[in-house]
Amino acid sequence: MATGTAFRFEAIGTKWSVELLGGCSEAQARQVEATIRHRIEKFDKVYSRFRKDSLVKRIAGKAGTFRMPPDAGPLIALYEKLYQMTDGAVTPLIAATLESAGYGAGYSFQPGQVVAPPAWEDVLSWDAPELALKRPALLDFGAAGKGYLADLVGEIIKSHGTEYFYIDAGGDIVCRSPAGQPFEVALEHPADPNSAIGVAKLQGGSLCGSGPGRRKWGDYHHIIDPHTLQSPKDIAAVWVTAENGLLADGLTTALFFCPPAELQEHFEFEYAIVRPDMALEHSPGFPATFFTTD
Amino acid sequence: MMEFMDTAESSKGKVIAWITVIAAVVIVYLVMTARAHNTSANAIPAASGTGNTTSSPLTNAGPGSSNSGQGSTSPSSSSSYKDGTYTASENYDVPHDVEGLSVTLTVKGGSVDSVSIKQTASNRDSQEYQDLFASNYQPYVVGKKLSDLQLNRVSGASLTSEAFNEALARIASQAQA
Repeated sequence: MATGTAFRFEAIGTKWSVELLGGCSEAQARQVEATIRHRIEKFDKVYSRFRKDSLVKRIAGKAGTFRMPPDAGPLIALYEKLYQMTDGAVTPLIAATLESAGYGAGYSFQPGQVVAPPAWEDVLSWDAPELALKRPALLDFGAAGKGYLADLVGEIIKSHGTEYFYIDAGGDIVCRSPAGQPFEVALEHPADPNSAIGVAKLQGGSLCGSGPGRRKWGDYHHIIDPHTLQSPKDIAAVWVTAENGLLADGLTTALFFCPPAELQEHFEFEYAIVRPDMALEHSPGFPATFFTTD
Repeated sequence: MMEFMDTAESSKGKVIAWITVIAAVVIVYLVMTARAHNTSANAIPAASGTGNTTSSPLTNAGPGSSNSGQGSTSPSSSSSYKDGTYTASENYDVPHDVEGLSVTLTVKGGSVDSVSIKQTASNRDSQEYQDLFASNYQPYVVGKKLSDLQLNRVSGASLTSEAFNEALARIASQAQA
């Protein structure tokens, strides 16, 4: 693997690691890092439901029409599609549910009366770049936002002239490896962060992972089914590889609610699912070898 | 079963049924032969009964033994599995062609350590059916220590911030109080 530079930081509530491959001076790397951190802050200031100063927080304050930044297009468009395909299970309006279950800005993790989210058509109307709210509502973009942001970080790296890179946004990967030298990525054991259940090989695109292992409290974890107001219990870990982080991240959430075969009719991706009993299901093309026993 | 072969609509179901039967037979043979003494490790499995299938001899590439399975005979208890790697391949007829599927399992410490399926279909329809089988066959995953794997890149559920971890620890201690 070519030598390069790497830097780590914490942002949007998770831990980032960025590797720039190839010859890149220390000064250039610092420049790229600064640009990336600035971009992430800008994104967070629009989409975070955890910050008092975000656009999302302003939208939650009153109804009206809001002009979204250009990057909202692909993000909201994907949410629209996933909302339809998952029968409303993947929705930005899940914010109210998550907050009432205790996953809000204060990280209280004390569930109160858990509320169901309203239907999309009752609240939202999207006509890029304008998002119209019929009534105030808190929005959550956690299902696909991190993967999307990793894509945007990748664009910054490429625009600074670095062709090969590895972005790890808290376990969601966007990367590009030199030909014939794929990155080897351990797939974390759902119950043991010091172990792996397989190794994926990535040439490019994105690998995103999701699971209840970390963000869980009481009977809940960070994914709540709007129809049952409970967190799905039949998946211990799920991974998706796709062309970009936006899609891979969004699909890891969708797979908690929708069989892979149905989603594969609309999107191109590979997946792997580990059940709580450690049973493994994966698409034949998922680029990993697994450690299995019968 | 011969009637199946003539019906166009059930030809897809027929192929899937064949693959499943053959793979199940292969797996049963592998497990049964793994129990057997060394001298029978080279036994050619009996034909699976109906249809036209051919199989390659069951080979045991066990530790310290050659591929022909003529290593030393170790005393075996009635319920022990002989450690090693076993592979069996089957060919099966599909319309106008013959396709193959190979199953490998390893026995370690007296039990099955891993099973893998090698898809060797060349025809597109066969590839699809073998894909279907492979994705529905149910393996179970086990963990290997990251330190043993010597990999420093990991993907999993989103890492959490310090603030998040502290909050979780806080409610956990409150729950215990």
